[in-house]
Amino acid sequence: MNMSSNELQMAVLKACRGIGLPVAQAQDVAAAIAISPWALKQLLSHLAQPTTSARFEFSAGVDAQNACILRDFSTCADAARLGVSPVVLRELSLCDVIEAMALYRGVSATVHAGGVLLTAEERPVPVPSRCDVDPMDWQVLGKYVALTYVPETDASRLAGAGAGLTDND
Amino acid sequence: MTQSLYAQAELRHPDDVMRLSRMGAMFPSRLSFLRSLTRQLIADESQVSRMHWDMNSDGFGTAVYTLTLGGHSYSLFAISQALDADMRTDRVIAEAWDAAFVLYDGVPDASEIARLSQSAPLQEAGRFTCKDLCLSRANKSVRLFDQIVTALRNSTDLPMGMIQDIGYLMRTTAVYGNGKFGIADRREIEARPGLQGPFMAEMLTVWLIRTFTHDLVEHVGGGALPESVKRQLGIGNSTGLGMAPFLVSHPLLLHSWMVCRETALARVRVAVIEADAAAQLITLSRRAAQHLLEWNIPDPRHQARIVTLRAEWAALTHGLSVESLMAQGALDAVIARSEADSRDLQELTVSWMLEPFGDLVDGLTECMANPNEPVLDAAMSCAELSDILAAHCGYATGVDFTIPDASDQFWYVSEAKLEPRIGKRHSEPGADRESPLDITRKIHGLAQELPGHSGPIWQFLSQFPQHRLAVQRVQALARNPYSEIRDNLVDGDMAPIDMLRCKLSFFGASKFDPKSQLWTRITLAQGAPLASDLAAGTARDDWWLPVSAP
Repeated sequence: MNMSSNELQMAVLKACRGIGLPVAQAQDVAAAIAISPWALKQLLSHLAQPTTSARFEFSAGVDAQNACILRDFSTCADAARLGVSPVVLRELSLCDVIEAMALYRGVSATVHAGGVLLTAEERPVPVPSRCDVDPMDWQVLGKYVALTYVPETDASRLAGAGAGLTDND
Repeated sequence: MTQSLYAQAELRHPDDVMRLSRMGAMFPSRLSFLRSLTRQLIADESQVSRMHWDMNSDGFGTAVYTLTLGGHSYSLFAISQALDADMRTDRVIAEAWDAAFVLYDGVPDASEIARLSQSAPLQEAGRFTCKDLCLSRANKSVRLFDQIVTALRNSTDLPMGMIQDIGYLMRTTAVYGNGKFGIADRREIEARPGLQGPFMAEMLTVWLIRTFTHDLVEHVGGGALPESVKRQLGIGNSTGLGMAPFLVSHPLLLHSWMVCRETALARVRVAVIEADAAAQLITLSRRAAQHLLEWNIPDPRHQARIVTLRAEWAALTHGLSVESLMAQGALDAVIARSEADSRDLQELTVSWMLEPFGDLVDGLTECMANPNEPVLDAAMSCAELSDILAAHCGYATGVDFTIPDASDQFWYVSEAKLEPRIGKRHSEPGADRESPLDITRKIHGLAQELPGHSGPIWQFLSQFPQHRLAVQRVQALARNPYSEIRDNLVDGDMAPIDMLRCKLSFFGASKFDPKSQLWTRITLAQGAPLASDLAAGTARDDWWLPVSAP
C-alpha cells in the first residue's frame, strides 16, 4: 500500500497516543518511523507491550533500567547529544525501532554489556516522500489509532459536532 | 521580537493578540493567503485553460482546468454528480456530494481522468497518488444555483438579492492537502514558485473550483453570466471543529502568521502617508461600511456584533479626510481611538490599515510559511525554564484548575464518524481519550511540578516524561511569543468558533456566518479576479471586503 510519509507519520502519532504515550514522545516516534518506514512492523510489537516504569541513575552518565523505548528514548538521546557518557539502556536489545529513533535523533545505538549504548552521532537523515506499507501492518496500526477515538452517543453527536444533518439551501 | 529594516512601532503584546476574543474578531487582509495567491497569479501572468469538458445538459460529468504557475502546470479535475437531497450534508461524515475535485500535478491524460473519475467522488474512502495535490468536494447552494439556471434559461432577471445574500454557487466542505489519503506531501511542492506560502495549493484549488461553479451554472442555464456577477460569486465553505486543532498542533506556523500580521501593523502605524494612500483609505472605509451593511446572518448573537460594528465603524471613520490622514501619527491615532470600542472594530481597523501599503506589507508573506516544530532544548536548566514560565506563561499558570469549569470541556475524535468533537468532561464519557489540545493545562501542570527541581531539564523529564510537550512549548514561547493561543482551550466558556475565524481570516474568508459556537459558513474569493480577468490582463488584487455595488 503506497502512501505519503505524512500519512504514515500522522497514523503512527495517533497510534502511540492510543497506547497512552505522552504526545511529545509520540511525535518523536512518528517522525522516526516516517524517515525509516521499514521499522513499522517492529513498532507494532512495541505498541503491544505494556508501558514499564523506568529507573534512571545519573551518578555516572545515564543508566536507565526497565526503560520503555517509545517513552524514554527521547530523554536518553537528549543526554547523549549533550555529551553525557555513557548513556546506557539496560536489558534492551538493538531493534529496528531503536535504529530508527537513533537515526532521527542524531545518535548511534550500539550493543553494550547488558543493553544499548547511545552516543551522539549526526548522520544524513533520509527524507522519503512515499513509502510502501504492508496492508496488514496498516490495519494493525489502525487498531491502535482507534484507541484515541471516543464512542459516540446521540447526545454527544448532537451537542459536540454542532452542524445540522442536511444542507439543502 | 523581530528586527526590521523598516521603521516600525512596538508590536502589540501577545498577551493581547493571542486571546481567543481577539482571534475570533479577525478579518481578512492583504496578508491572507487567497490575496497572496491572487498577486502570484497576476505577477506570473497565469492563464487558465479548460482542457476538458464532458458535461451533460443537467450539469453532470467531468471537467479539467489547467494553469501554469511558477513554471509548473496544475490542473483541477472536477466531477459533478446527481445527489439526492437527503444525502446533501456539509458535515465531514457525508459520503456523497454534488461535486468532487482533485488538484492534479501536471495535466491529466485520459487514463488519469478515468482514475480520478473513480477515486475523487470517494473522497476519504478513496486512495490517491503523488500526482494528486489536494482533494476537495462541494455541495450546491441549491436555491441560488436553481434560480440562476432558471433566469438564464428564461432570459429573465438574475436574482441579485439572493446573489448578494448567499454569495456562492457551491460550498466546499473539506479541502485536504499534505499527504492525506495518499495525496502528495506538502514537502513535495513547498519549494515551488507560487506554492511556497501556507495553504497555497489549497487556495489554488478553491479559486479554480469557483471558476468551475461559474461554468457549470452557465452550462446548465444555457446562458452567460455578466462578468460583474461572476466576480460577486465566490466559493462557500462550511467549516467545523476539524479546522481548530491545526492552530494548536502547529505553534511555530501560528507564530509566523501572527508575527507577520503584527509586524505589518507596526510598520504601517509609523508610515509616512502619501495622498494616494490616504485617498485609498477613505475609499476603503466606505467599501467596508457597505460590506458591513451587506453582511447579514441568521445567528442573533453574531448579527448583533455586526450591527454594533456598523455603528462603531461609522463613528471611527466619520470626518476622516485625505488631509487628516496625511498628518503625522494619524493612523496611530485612529488605531488608538478604535481601542475604545469592540475588538471587532479594532481588528477591522487593522485589516483596513494594511490595505494601501503593499510595499510595506506584501513582502512579509514570504515569512508566513514555517515547516518547523518546537525542538526541546535539553540543556536548559530547570531554573531558566521557571523564568520563562514566569515571564511568558501567566495566562496558563494563573488558571485555577481546581475549579471544575476550568476543564469543563475536552476535545476528542468520535469513533463512529472520525470527526473532531467537544464534550463535557464532567458529564460525558471519553475524557481519558482526550485530544491533546489542552496546552494551557499541560503548561499549568508543568509549572506545578517544576519547583524544587534543579539541573538540566532532560533529567527532570526522565522522571516526568509526561511534561516533555509542555517544556517544548514553553521554550518555544520565549522566542516565538505568538506561538500559543493564550487562553484555556478546555475552559467551560471556550468557543471554538474563535479559533475557526482566526484561521479562516488568514485564508481570506469573509461574510462569516456562524451556525453555532462550533461551526461556520464563510465565503472565499468573493470579489476576486476571474480567470477571464487574468486572460485579459485586467486582474487586480483589490477585493478586500467585497461588496455587490462597488
